Amino acid sequence: MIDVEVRNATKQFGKVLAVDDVSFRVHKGEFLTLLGPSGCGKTTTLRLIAGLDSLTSGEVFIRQEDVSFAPPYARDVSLMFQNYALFPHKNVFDNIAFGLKYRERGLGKDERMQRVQEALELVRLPGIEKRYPRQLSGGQQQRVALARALVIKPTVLLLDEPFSNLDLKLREEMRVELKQIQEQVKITFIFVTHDQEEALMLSDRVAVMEEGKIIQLDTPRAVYEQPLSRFVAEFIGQSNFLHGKVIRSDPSGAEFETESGLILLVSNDHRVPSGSSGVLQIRAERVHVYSEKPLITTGNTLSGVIERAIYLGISIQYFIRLGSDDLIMTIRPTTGEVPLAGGTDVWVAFDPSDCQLMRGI
Amino acid sequence: MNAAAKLPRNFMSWLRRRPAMQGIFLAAPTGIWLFLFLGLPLILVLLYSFWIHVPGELVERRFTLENYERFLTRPIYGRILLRSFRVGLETAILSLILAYPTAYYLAKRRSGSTMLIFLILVPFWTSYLIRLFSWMLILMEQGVANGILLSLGIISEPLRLLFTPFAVVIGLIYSALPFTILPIYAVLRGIDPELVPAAKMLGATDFQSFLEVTLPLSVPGIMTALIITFISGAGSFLAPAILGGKGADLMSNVIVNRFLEAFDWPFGSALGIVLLVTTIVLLMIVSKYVALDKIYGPGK
Repeated sequence: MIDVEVRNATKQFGKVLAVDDVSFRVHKGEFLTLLGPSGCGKTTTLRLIAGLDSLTSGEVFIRQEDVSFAPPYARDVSLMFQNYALFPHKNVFDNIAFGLKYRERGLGKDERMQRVQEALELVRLPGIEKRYPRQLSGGQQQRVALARALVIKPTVLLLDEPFSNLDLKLREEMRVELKQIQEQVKITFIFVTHDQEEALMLSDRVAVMEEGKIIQLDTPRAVYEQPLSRFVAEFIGQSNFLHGKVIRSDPSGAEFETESGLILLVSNDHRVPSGSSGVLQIRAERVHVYSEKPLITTGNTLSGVIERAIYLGISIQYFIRLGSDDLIMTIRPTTGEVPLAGGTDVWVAFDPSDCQLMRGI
Repeated sequence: MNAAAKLPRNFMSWLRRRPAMQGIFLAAPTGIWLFLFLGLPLILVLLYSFWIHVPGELVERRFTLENYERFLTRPIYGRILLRSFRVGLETAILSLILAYPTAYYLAKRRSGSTMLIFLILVPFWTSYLIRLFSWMLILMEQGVANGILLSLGIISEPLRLLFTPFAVVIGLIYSALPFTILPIYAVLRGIDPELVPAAKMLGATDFQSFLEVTLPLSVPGIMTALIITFISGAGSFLAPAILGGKGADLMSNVIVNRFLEAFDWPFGSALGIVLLVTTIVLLMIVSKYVALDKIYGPGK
C-alpha cells in the first residue's frame, strides 16, 4: 500500500525554485530519507507534505486521498521539528496531550492519560509528565517531541533533522532508538537529514536531493554502490574521481584512459559510450595498497608513490600518485603494523566492478 | 607608557578583581540621579503629608494624621481616586484592544517592520501638549469629528465630545498606543516561529493555535503594556486638564490644585502618597496572579 504520494510537486519562493518537479511514493511502514545539503529543498518537500507550505503546482496524496489543498490539521500526518518546538508554557503532559485534544476529540480523560503514558514509555521517559520543557535536557526534549508526534498515531511521521541539535554520542544513541521505535510502531517515516551516515543506517530507501530535484531514489546500498551522478557519489562516502576518456566499450566491460595515460578496466558499465570523455569513480576504501607487487594482478593493478599518509586512529588515509598526473586516495583500516610512510613506492589494486563511469563535468 | 594611559588601566584591572564593584560602578550614575531627584523629593513629600497646613504660611512641622483623615472622611477624594483608576483601566484595555492586532501584524511581517515602527513613533517628535491641543480641534463642537459626522448625515446636530471623560480617554489612548504596541511586538517577535506550525500539525486550527500558543506566550508583553498604560492613565494630568470638563478631574489634577492654588502642600502630599501607595498595591496584586513562572512553569 502507498501511504504517501508526491506528484510533480513544485514550490517557488519568489524567484527561488525550492522544490522542482519532485515525484515519489512511500510505502506503508517504509522509512524514507530525503538526503541533501542545506538548501536542496528537502525540508520544503517535507513541509509540502505536512501542509505547512502550499504547493506552487503538483499534488500530494496521503493514503490515496488528495490533500494538496488541505490545511495541516486536516492531514493525517505528524511532524517532528528540528528545534523540537515544544510549547514552553505547557508541561510535558499537556505538550503530548495537545494532539489528542484536537485530533481525537472523543477521547476520555483516562484514555488520554493512558495514551500519554504509553507514548512516554515508548520513548523511555516515564514519569516526567509534570515537568516543563525548560527543565529538560536536549535529549529529553527530543524524546518528548517524538512522543508528542507519535501519540496521535499518524499515518505518516515526518522528521525534520531531528538529531542535528544533539552532540555526537547522544545522536548515535538516538539513531538506534529511533529505528527500534519505528519498527515497533510500524508507522511510515519520512526523514530529512544532511547526514549521509544517518541516512544509510536508518532508511529503507534514500532520496538524494540537489537544487530542488531528486537525483537518485534507491536503497542505501544501491545509492552507495551505484551512484547515478558525481554529486551523489561525492555526497555519500569518499570517492576518487579520475578524468579521462572511454576508449572501448563492449559487453565484457569498458576501458578507460585517464588524462595522464593510465588504462583502467571497468566492468558492466555502459553509461558513457566509447569515445566520449567522462569520469571514473572509485570508492576510497575499495582501493587496496601493497608494499610489493601482488602475485595475482587481474583487474587494475598499478604502481605509485605515497605522497601523504594521514593517521586517523581507526583507519589511515593514503594519497598515492599514479603515473605522472593521477592522484588516488585510499582509506585502509589500521593494523598492528607500522603504516607506510610518505615517499614509499607501493602497488595499488582495485576491482573493475568497483569502478563506475559518469559523464564528465 | 605614560602615567595618564596607565591610570585607567590600573583602575580596570582593580575593577576586574572585584565583581561586586563592577555592578555598583555601572549602576552608580542612574542610582545617584534617581536618589537625588526621585528618592529625596519623595521622602520630602512623605514628610509634608504628616505635617500641618497653616493658611498664610506653608507648614507647621508638627506630626499629624489629619491630612489622611481628610482623605478618608471626605468621599469626594475616594471617588476621584476610583475615577482615576477607572480611566487608567479604560485606557489600558482599549489601548490593548487597538494595539494587539497592530503588534501582531508587525511581528508576522517577513521584513520591513522597522519603517512602520518608525511611523508609529513619529508623533513623539512634537510635544505632548501640542498633540492634545490638536485633539481639541478635532473634538470641539465645530471640529473635524463633528464636521465629518454631520456631512455624512450620521448626526443632525453636533455632539458634545470635548470636555468629557470620553475625550480624556481618547487623548490618553492616543498617547499610550506606541507604548502598548511596542512591548507586545517585542514579545511576539521572540516567540519561536515553529510553535504555531507545531500546534497546527497536532490538529489545531489557525485560531485555536493562536489561543493555545501565541496568546498565552504574549502575556508578558500584554502585562507590560497594560501596566504602563494604566499608570500613565491613572496618574495623568495634562489630558484631563485640557480635554476634560469640570467633572473629569483625576487625582493628579486635584493634587496640582492643592499645591498651586490652595497652597495646601501637606494635603496635596498626602493625596500624592495615597495615589502612589494604592497604585503599587494594585500592581503587586496583579503581578502575584500573573507571575512569569505561571506561564513557563517553575525554573530548573
